[in-house]
Amino acid sequence: MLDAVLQRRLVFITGKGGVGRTAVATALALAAARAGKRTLIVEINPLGRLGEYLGDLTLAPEPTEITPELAAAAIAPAVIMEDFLAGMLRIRALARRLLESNTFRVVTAAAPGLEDFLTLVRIAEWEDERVGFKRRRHRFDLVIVDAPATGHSVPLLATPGTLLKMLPFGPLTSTARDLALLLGDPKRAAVTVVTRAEEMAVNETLELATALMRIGVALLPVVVNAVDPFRFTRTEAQRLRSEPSDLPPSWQPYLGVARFSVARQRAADRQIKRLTQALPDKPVCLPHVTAGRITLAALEPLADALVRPSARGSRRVS
Amino acid sequence: MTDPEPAATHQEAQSDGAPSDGPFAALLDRQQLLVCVGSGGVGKTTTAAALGVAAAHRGRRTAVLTIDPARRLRDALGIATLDGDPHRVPLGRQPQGGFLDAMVLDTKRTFDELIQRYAPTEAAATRVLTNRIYESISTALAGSQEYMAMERLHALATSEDYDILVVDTPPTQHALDFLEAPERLTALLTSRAAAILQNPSLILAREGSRLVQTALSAVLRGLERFTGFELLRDVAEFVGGLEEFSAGFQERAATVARFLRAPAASFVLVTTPEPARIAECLAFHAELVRTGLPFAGFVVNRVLPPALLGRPPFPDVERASEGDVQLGRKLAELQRRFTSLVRTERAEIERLRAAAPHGLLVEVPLAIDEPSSLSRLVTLSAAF
Repeated sequence: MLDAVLQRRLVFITGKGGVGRTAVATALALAAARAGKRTLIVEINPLGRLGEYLGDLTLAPEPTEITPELAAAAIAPAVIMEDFLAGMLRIRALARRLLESNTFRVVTAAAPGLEDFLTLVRIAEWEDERVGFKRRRHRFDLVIVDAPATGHSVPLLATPGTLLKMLPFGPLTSTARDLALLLGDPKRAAVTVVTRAEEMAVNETLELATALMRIGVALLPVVVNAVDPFRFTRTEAQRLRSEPSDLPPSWQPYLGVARFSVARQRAADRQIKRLTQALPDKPVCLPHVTAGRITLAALEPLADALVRPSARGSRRVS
Repeated sequence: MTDPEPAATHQEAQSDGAPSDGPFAALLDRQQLLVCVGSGGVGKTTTAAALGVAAAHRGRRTAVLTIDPARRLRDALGIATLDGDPHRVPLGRQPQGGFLDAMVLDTKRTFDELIQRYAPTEAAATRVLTNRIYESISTALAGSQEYMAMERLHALATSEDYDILVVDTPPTQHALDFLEAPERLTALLTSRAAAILQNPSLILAREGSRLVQTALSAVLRGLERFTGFELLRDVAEFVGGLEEFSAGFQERAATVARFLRAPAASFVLVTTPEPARIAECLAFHAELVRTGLPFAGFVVNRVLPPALLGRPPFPDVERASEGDVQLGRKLAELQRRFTSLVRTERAEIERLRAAAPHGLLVEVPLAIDEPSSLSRLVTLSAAF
């Protein structure tokens, strides 16, 4: 899994609400940083918890260094809008004034996609940011985006395409075209969907994967989060299910729990199998971590699990 | 709830007779509105549906309104279509003519109906409804979904077709997002935005700044290039059209706000026993209390049976016959894991009890998988 990510420069993490997108994005960033990539993790949700996971930080709209290899930033809609307006008006105080006006809020709501567009522009700027002698070197090797949940991530990633269809000519066309090229280039950009081994989450994942393929963005293996690392083998499961009377009588009171556990294991396996059958790549399973608070230390096991080589690389399906 | 065998809790036959009184019985008998609030992924929609089934069982004419339904819920409810119209859930004969209708929030349609109701004239309604940006405003404007949920709720509550409404809210990090959004939207739509757009010189009068006026028109020109149509004119027209019925809007928002705080309304906080979710749930609870919204109780989904705690440790496996040692070790480990998980869960659930000693609390046992049939939902509803 990690290899597929490390080959890209820009990876979006999306999925159903509550499946652990931010935790997986953070673990991925952690693993990439450990592999020596200068990694930037970007949060889009203004109420997100990335800062908390990274050690109770308040994330800034500009990349802040966490370790020499890892930086983090939070894109605040108000800030990118202000920057956009400031660029247009060349006076920042005026931009602020406009942002405070109800009139302006109605106007921007009437222009759906503007915020998404500006968000992507900002991300693309970081992806392409150069530093050093003659600005030859990329500032970041990899940008990981903790993208919004299912419902919003498709319109977000479709923004450049939608815009190009709507406005084949105009001042924003070349920017939109660059964005579309970046997102559509499987060598540079890709998306991964985080899910759980539960039926509703898998249903939503399959629908989302189809929608993402339609946009033409490369799909990395789906990440199944919070898979119970405790497992009975097939033989053990069969034995437990067939009411084993040959087991010691003192064990009998404990078999109910074991059978329940086997049934849950089977239900989870069925959902993982559905993903395997429906998608081009085998899903990657991450272990369930129990933690009162999610911290970088608690996410280490996820980062470790991501390093294990995946069976196949990602494939672009258009 | 105290069944020692988790698997067994899902095999209980559904009762067709009179419902027994669960912790929520009085609430289900008396209230007119139950609002389910909670983080994403805790089973809020399913809980709302199960509460609806429970209310119907108690002879109430019930409607469940879901905001963002998974396809699965539609299957679980046993109805072919789930949309903006009420669809009867095939529960069979319920006592005292009780029934359950399910519907989804259709933001655009509710907005349409609202416009039609409050438009002073037919022409005014048409002007707004045919506006080119109406569709994006009605669905994309922050708060419009929440506002329309409230609106729909109020319409249903006053329709006299139902005794009780159960509503499932969109996942939010803050309980109040949902409740405050309608007020914010009303403020926005009924502000002087319209007048300003129609006559930008009003900004001058208010702000005393020619610069801001120039800035606004420059930005609007820029945005027009972005959207490719005459945004300014359309927005002005749209908001201007709305202003004609701003009085109706404001009155309505106030009525809905009162309705939410009325004695007949209750908020139910849905969570799972994981520490992180409990922390979020406690934050929701504090917000509800602080703002004087009527909190009724917690529903904790996916709880391991507490009876597991009372067990003696797993017997010594090393004395088992050769072939069983491996399995015995696994069973012992499973027992240890479950016991430790249950201990954590009990402590977390106690935190909820401590935060609201007089609140109701229902624990829904962890199931093998999610409820996918009406009979499962009926079984689940017995917990309330």
